[in-house]
Amino acid sequence: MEPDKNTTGPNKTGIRLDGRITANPVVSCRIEGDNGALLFNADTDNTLLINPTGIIVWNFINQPRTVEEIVEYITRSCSNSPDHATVRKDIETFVTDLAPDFISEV
Amino acid sequence: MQEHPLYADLTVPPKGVAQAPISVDLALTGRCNLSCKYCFYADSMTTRTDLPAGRWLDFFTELGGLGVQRVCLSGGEIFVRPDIFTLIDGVIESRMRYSILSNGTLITEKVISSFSEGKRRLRMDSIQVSIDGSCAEIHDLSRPHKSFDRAVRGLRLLVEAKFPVTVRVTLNHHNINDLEKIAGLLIDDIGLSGFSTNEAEAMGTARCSGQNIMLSEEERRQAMKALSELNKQYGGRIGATAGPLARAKMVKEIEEKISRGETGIPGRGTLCSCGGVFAKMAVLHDGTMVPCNMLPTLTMGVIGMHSLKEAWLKSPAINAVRRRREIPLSALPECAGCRYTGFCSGGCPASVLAKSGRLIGTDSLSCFRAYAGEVEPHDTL
Repeated sequence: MEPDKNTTGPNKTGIRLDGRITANPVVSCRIEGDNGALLFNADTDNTLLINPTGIIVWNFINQPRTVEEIVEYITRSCSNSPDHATVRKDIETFVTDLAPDFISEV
Repeated sequence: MQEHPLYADLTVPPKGVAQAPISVDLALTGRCNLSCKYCFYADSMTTRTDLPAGRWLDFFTELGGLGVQRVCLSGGEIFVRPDIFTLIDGVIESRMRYSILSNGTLITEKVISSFSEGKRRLRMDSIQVSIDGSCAEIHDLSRPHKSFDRAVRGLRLLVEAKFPVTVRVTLNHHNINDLEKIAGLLIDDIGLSGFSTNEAEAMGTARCSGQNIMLSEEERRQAMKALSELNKQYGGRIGATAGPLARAKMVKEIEEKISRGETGIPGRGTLCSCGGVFAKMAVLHDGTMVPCNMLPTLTMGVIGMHSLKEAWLKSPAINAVRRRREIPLSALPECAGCRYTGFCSGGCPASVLAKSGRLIGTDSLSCFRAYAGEVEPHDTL
């Protein structure tokens, strides 16, 4: 699938969606029951609540991944996942929300 | 049959408990270079021994893995540990932030300089120094001789180096007539944005010193009035979560609500104080996990031997404290017939346990009926 040209370059948070990203090593992930998990950047003191699907993504990016790799992984892991384009859009939004405090480009 | 909090399964946490604590108070040492007359931790200091750094570092890794965000490092006096910066770096390595409680007397230029390495400053939330008087003559009445000069020197060094420094003033028999000068020293002279206050509790060495250190009820009322006026004068820059100023705020709030015809405050009316056990816990310097470092007899386990997560969720010791909030004040003998139960929260469980030996009960310092003079305090030592 041709990447959307509007989302591949550096966005407002400075992250490039066509590169490899990984979890920021100073961030901890705190499971909050069925509600998801709380990411905590100990350097900036910022937190972000992510949902259960976000936890799957978070665990997957413990090593460098492309957005496309994440999309494929989520599509494989979740039996009722929507179509590829929708998942990709959701992942791009998720990655953008996580940058720059919780993930970094490699 | 409806579950009763007194007979509940205490291996199951009540609703609202996070999967792991958000913060943990760590007494890293039981050693101290001072011997203050109201140290609540004194009993634990004499009966337990310090853990080596390696045990703490392993524990920090466990905390970080659970997503614990903050630790508060105290003692004893943490700067007596020669490996304190190894421990602080371990906290940082485990993706946590930290705060420090200190008597300030061992803070030197060298200590200040050591904090500039790595992320030690970046990750520090606050460093608190205890000051109990505006001058050595008063401060040193509750602390060892010559401790004032060293504490103020340490405090000034922290302020000059722009650390996130705070000060705690513990009100006691010796300093209640010195409050205006203390505020002048800390805010006007040293330049702090504010300071917090508390009161010498009937624990540790204060139990031995009795009224030579703890406030009488008359002194407490004097302190409530003086601190309220000072706080107004300084634009709300004096804080308190316990002690006379907190009590003054509580009394004012209740009086205002009563004057408006209200009969209670949402969320009150049970033994709901304190809520700390839903988000934090503590570890004593020998590794004993406890709900709070002021509740050292309520053992939850030992770090390295027991899982923190298991202890946090399943320990009857901490769940017993949590489930206090399900007990209505109206069910307690000391609150029988009281028309103010809807306003009260029962007070600090550690204070209740220290005074009465029971966890289920109220602290008269938080009792509005006793404050109003309608009954005698039920737990005066």
